[in-house]
Amino acid sequence: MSRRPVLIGCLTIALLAAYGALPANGQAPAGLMPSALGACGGNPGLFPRGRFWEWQELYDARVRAVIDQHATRRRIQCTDLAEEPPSFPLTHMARQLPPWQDGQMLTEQDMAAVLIEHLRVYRCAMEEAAFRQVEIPDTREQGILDLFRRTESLLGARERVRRESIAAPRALERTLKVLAGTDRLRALESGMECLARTSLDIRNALGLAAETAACLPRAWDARTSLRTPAPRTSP
Amino acid sequence: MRISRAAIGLLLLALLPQAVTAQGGVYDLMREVTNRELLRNEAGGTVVEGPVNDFVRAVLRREPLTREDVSRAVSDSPGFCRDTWKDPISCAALRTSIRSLTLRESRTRALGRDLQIIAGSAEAPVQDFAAEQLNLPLRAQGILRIWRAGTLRAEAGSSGSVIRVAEMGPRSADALQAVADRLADLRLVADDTEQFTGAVWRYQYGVRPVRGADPSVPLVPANAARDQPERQFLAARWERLEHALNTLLLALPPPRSLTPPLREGETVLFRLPAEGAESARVVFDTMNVRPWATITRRADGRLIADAGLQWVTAVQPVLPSLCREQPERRREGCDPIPGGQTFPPLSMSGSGLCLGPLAQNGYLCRPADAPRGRSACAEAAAQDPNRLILTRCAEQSPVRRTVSGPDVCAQENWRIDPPAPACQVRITCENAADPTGAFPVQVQGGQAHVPLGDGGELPAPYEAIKLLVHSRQRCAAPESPDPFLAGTPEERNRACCRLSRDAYRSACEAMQADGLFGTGAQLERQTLAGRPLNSLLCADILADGACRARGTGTCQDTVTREDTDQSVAQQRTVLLSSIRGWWGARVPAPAPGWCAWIRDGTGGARSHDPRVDAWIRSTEEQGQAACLPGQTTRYQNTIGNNLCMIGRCVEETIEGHRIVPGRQALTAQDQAYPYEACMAPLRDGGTLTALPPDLSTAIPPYRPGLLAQTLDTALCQTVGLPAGTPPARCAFQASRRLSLPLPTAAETALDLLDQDREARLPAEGISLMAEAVATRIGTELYRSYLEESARNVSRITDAASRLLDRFSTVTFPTTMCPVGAEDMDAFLQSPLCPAPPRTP
Repeated sequence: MSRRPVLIGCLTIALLAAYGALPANGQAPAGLMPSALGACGGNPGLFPRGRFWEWQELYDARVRAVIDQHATRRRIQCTDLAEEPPSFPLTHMARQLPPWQDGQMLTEQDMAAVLIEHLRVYRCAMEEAAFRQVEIPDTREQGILDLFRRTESLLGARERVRRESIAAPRALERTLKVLAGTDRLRALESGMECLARTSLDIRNALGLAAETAACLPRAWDARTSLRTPAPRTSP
Repeated sequence: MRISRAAIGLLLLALLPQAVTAQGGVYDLMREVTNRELLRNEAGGTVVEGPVNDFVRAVLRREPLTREDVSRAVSDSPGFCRDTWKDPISCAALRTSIRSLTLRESRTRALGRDLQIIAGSAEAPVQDFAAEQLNLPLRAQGILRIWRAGTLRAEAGSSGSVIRVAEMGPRSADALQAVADRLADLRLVADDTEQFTGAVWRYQYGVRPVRGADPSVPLVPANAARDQPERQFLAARWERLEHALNTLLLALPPPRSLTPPLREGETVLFRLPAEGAESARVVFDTMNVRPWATITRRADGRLIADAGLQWVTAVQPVLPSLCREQPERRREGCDPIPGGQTFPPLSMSGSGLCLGPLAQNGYLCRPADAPRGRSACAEAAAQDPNRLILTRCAEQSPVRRTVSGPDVCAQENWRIDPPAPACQVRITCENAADPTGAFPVQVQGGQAHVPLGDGGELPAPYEAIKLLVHSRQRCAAPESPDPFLAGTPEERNRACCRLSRDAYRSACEAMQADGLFGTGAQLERQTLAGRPLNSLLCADILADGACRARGTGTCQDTVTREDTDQSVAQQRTVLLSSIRGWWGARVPAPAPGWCAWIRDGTGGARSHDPRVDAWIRSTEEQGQAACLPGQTTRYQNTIGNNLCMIGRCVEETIEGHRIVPGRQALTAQDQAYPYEACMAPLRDGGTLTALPPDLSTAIPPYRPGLLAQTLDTALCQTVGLPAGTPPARCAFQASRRLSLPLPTAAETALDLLDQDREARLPAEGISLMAEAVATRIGTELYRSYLEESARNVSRITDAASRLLDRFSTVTFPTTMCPVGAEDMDAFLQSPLCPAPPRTP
């Protein structure tokens, strides 16, 4: 009597696991797949299917690359009002995201928007994977009927999705806070750099003017002559 | 030895999950902060950070808890209550207590870190010793160096400190390693980051202020750590780390080896060497810390060295301690610190901010040099309790007066190693009366003795100017015989009239500038012997009268030359009496007496009166012309110094040039040379470049009180209630439900308990929105300040640009001015002469 619920439970889990694991054994479609969550707009390839356990590392690596590049000093243009061109990691990330896929204009100042959109796609991919479950194959899994390992994998995936849905936005928000402080002064820094260059130009021009001014007493004093006397020739 | 150090670095890299590099490790740091907030480690397991864990176990000390127990209780691990000593009921209660306490403390610490992140991100770019990427003070100083005039010595002016950056050098590798080892000890051995964090913040301004060696920073009382245990690490000291930092100072390059040599008021900031000390660099990178060192030569010549630590990205603040620090019993557990107490600020709070060589010139560290009423100080007049006025203004602004007379850059000390003065002025407070009738200023041994007694015929400042003009005359030819005594009577007459008239002329012009003969339209309303009174008549009367009284005869170049001796003497007496009367009625005598007041200047000036000071410098700079043909003049290539050079050349030209007699134009618009008719019209003549007179800027007021009130008001209004403070009063009003009770008392009670629910959602919404609004308010503060200051800077650079642009459009002729008939014929045929004069 007491064994029947356990047996039914085990069978149910086995069926569910078998159903969920089928695509993991080579039946997962390659490339894009219609999204189960409409708002997510599909997984655009930033987070490859079948590699769920690598998504966090992929996400972190991309964000880290964009922010590292943003924090390094870049060449400042003072001759026109051109926007700061985007860094390569930012361009690479943005071109894979829906708002910038069609070649819309992108500048380095768009970094926060791109990162937030990237985060949205990441969370969507996570949520979708948790919803479909088929996206969470455990690559360590060897046997289709290894129920306990499959169950453990599913639970671990759900826990990761839950944790990342909290941790990833907060970490990005804090990062953007730090960058907001420096970025707010970044325009000032650019202005100061341009002012320094202008000052050097003014200094050099004034240096030439000072050199010229050294001739003023000689030029204005009627007792002297600016002319270099002609060499005396013997009579 | 090397292996062990490298091993420490590698060990740190391996042990610290938050290992980041100094370059671009911001995201990893933020991941670490978030993990701590969520009580997670990198692997996803539950971890309660050390201080909180120890605190929880100490508070719940009745239960035999381990660190793992606390983590298991927080993570809802089923294993927590499986231990045999726990019965299910008490275990659930214990778990609730542990979770509640842990989450509360962790939330507080997360808030502290968030506030630090916000503040640190704004402060980092403007710190003196901040790191590599964005350092606005150094950039600002670079611009100042390009613009300022002077030799960049401290006495050259008040333009601010000078700082340059250098590397620590290969000798410092061992000392750097020692500093890294001490920090690693604090981080690893102490088993938590509290001491490490406290040490980095404690030495952020250097070791000297912590040791009490800097009088501007009060020493933290010895009992501060005991009396205020929550702040114990703000008052703590780490002797071994201090020793390592002092060792680093000894390993710095010696000041005499610096090129160029260290000047007074200059600071060298030493940073990590690009090569060498690799293992130490690994440790510093891992810890998100940078060591720094400085050597400063003060204005009095003393060398001051200091070393300290600085965060690369300041994330971790000194959080309130949870356990009282007990080094001897550290391993035995935690002595929990009861919370809820308030303490007065520590005496040294904020005082280290102004120690930086550049920060000490900031608005928080000194009053603005602007008199009240100027735009920079306009906010100070408005008293508003909701405002924090960030700019203080000097009560008596040190107005720097210069006299653009003999030398436009007299007070700038712009030349490098100018020639030694031929004549040194020495003012003595003795009477000038000399019965022999000799020249009033005598030069002996390279010193011009200026006798400025109280019995002078003119008020002291004017008498000083007169005598200084005489000293300048005498210093021009110190070896020549006394001009008042030597020569024929005619020569003595000419010398007396010329030299006296020049001296009186300068003194009388100073009087006229002071308004003694009337100001504006009132000038020349007064008359003396029927002539309008001004500085020229004043000089003529005084000089002619003096020379006649001396017995050298009438001065032929004066307007009084036709007057009788008696008339001139009478006019002179009336004029002197009038001058003394005007002076005595309007100008009170200073305490030390006029002579001493004039003689003893301050702040690098030789005299209190800038006009007197200018004449002293002018006298001593005779023979030091900067712009003579063949003259070598050395100065640092700055905008200010170049302008000084141009100004000096123009001045010396006007003062020294001679126009050929007969070549001057007789009337206005007349031509002095026959070829002037050929000159192209001066298109830009009369266009002036003027700067606005007031270029000061003001720091906008900060209104935190008003902002907090606005937020409170918004919170109450959102739930449809009038404003109230604290806003919790808007969320709960017992009378609302009691006046309209529910059917049963139980329902009414439950509703009362849940009454704040309706305010909770709006409050959370405002909480989320407040951050964005605060960011905009902060940005608005920046904008308000930068808008005005940037506009002023652009006005200056625009004006400079326009002037230089005009320079570039000047077309210089390729031919010389004609001097003879042949040249003139050729000139008239040249394209420069579009309308050659026609011969009738």
